[in-house]
Amino acid sequence: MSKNSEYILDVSDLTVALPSDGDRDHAIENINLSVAAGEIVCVVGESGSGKSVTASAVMGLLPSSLRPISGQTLLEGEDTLNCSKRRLRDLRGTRMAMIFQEPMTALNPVTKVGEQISEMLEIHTQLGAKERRIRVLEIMRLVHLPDPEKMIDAYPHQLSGGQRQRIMIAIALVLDPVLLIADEPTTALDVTTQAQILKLIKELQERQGTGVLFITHDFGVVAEIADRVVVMQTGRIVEQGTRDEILFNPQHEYTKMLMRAVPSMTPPVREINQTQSLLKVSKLEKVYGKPGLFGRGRVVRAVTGLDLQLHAGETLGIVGESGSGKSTVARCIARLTDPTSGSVSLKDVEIANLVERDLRPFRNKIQIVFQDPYRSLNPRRTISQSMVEAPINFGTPYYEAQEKAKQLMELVGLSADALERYPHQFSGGQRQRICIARALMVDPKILIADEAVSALDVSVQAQVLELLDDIRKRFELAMLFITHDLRVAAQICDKLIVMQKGKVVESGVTSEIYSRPKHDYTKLLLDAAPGRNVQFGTAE
Amino acid sequence: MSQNAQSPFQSTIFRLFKNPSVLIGGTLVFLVIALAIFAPLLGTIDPNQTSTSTRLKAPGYEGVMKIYTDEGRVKVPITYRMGSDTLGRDVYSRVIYGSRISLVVGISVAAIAISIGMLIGLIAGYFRFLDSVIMRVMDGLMAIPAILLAIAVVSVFNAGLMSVIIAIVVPEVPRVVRLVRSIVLSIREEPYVEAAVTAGTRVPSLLIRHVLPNTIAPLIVQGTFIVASAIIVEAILSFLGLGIPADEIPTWGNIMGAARENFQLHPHQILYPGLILAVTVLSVNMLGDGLRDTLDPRFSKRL
Repeated sequence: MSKNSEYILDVSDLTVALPSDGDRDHAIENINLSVAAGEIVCVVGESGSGKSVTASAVMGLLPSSLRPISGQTLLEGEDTLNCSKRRLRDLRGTRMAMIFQEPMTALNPVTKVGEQISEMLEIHTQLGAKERRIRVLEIMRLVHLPDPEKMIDAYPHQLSGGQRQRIMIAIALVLDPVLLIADEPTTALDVTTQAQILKLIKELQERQGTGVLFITHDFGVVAEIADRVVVMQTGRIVEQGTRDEILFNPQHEYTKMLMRAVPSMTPPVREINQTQSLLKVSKLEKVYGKPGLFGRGRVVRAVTGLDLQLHAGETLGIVGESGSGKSTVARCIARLTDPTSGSVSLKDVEIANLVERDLRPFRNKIQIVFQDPYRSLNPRRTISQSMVEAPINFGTPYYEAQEKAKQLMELVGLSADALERYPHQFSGGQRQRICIARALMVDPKILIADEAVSALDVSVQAQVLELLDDIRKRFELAMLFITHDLRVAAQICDKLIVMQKGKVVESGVTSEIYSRPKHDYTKLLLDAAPGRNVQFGTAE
Repeated sequence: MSQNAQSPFQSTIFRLFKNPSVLIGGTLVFLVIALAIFAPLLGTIDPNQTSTSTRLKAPGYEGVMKIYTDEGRVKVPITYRMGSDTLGRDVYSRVIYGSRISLVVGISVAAIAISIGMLIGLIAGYFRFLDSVIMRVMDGLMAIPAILLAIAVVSVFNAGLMSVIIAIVVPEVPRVVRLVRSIVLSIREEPYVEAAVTAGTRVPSLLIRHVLPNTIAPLIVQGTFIVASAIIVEAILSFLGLGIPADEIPTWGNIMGAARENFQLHPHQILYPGLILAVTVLSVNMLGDGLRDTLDPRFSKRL
């Protein structure tokens, strides 16, 4: 940490106004923060806290509807808010650079990655084609891309998510900028890839002495890489300090609340009482893609030979990275897709091969809560209409269904008069509560939560997890909890199945898997979880 | 949570009235509709009334029509606002009455093409096993040029209003099917549709409640473009003498068609119907553009 060196970025009193129809006057208000050379400053906050607006303001990338009304953002003494467009263009890339969350959309899909890195040199330097190629290969080696000579001619879709993000970093750093702004650069990545990218950013920053403004919502990531931390809430900075100050001695209530909401990596002790088996899945197999009309089509084995048992009152977690087939398992059990082979028996009824008409009477036994609360409710129908749909399908009179909807809305912590509103009038967390209430309308035996808390802010996530655990106990539900987040899994799951590439690599009681992982892949996953050694929210 | 329970539908209506193309296009379309409805009140005479003594007069000509009725010959004073044609018929009256046919053809073609296309599109999009069969038939239909297909259909049936409408509907249907199918394909993957599946909702209600409403806005937009193109195709068919016969009902197309031979000497007979045809199609297209900007989420996202 180089506290005494001069700041390369100095933001003072920055205020950005929102359009007049916004839900508050200012997107960000009186922002004061600074980044020194060779320092990683993490801006952390929940969605809507204004952290991305701050970054965009520094880069001069604010949308035209957002106007900075006061303050300055000094990049090495030069105010980027009042630069001409041309000067700003020169600064971007040479003095400051940015990497984004989604490495697929940030890269041009029809241009070779080497050319995309080279473009930066073409625009900003006088280097010839040969020299540019040498420099590109050099930077690709620096971000640890395997076999740069080959990869330089690859297109983005030929690379993995982690490799694409490495290309993004290479583009950002090829001109040795003094400031790197990283806007949630690892959020879209798998946990093992995330660990590698974090390590890379830290390594490059140390080697080049770049100052990094790192925007994230994840305290695990903060614990991993931050030198200093800035905590933002609804457009204001509530607290800033060194990593240790913020993590272990937070002063502001909001910071404390955020830290408490971060689920711990240590599973609590849970008693497991053996109850009746509700669901038995054996040798489940799902193959996507059939032999095509012409020649042989491409075949993907999403799930192979999966067995699981689910008992009343227990939560079984399925963890794994993207593409591991965990969601496919959920969809096969909920019969949203047809399993290729294997058996799914609900009590003693085999439902894996039932046609839709024969399956319908059993639909109420298994309900599912999806990841995206914004797409899980029909935007054109009132909450009440969405809630009563299922019970009416199963023959409940309308009036009774309405009464039940009111009770369940109160159970999930919403008022009954919310029933007449439309989904767009609720926040993400509220919508997820509504989805949970909707699932409970038909008294299911099994509740599947498919990444149900992944799209939520950490404080809301904690509340929804609590709600899920509460209703599981209250209704003796068997819960199948699909997640990629090992912290969440540690807190809510009694038992755990770890999946990799469509296969189960390890299964057992959660606390045992966390303390004594047997399979290498499980160990790798647990090791990669950011901030695994930090116990959040314990310092009071 | 905002307190006013305004449905998404209400806010859309509000946004529509703030869009200039919707306002201008809508007003013009409304005027053409008014023209068609109130045709008898707008100083017109019977559009098929011939008058041998006042043939091929220039616009603004004031004269006397000699009309033969049961009681004998009657002299009626008349002003030919837009001149007269080869049979002494009043071009102004014919143009005004002609708007009726254009609108009837345009609107009924759009309504029929959308109803048929929506049904086929829903089926193709939701039932995967029917999809490839239906879509190959639609591709086949689309491979035939619309005008040629229309001419073929008209020549099979007798020329008349119904056959013209059918002739224009047939080539429009595949376009609607493609649009609806593509929407169904993306909407059926939405979690709220899947939630309805796990709720045990039957397929017909699932389609009507959760899938169909998503097709309404794009179909309204597509519908306006179909109206415009149907008006033009009808005019083309009538101009070529394949559509509605000129001695039965005047349409913009057959007025222009009849005036072909005299165009160099009497351009007004083509000018006026052509002008109003152009304005009508322009305003319908303008309305469609405005509707698309407001109703299509891909366009409304911009700040």
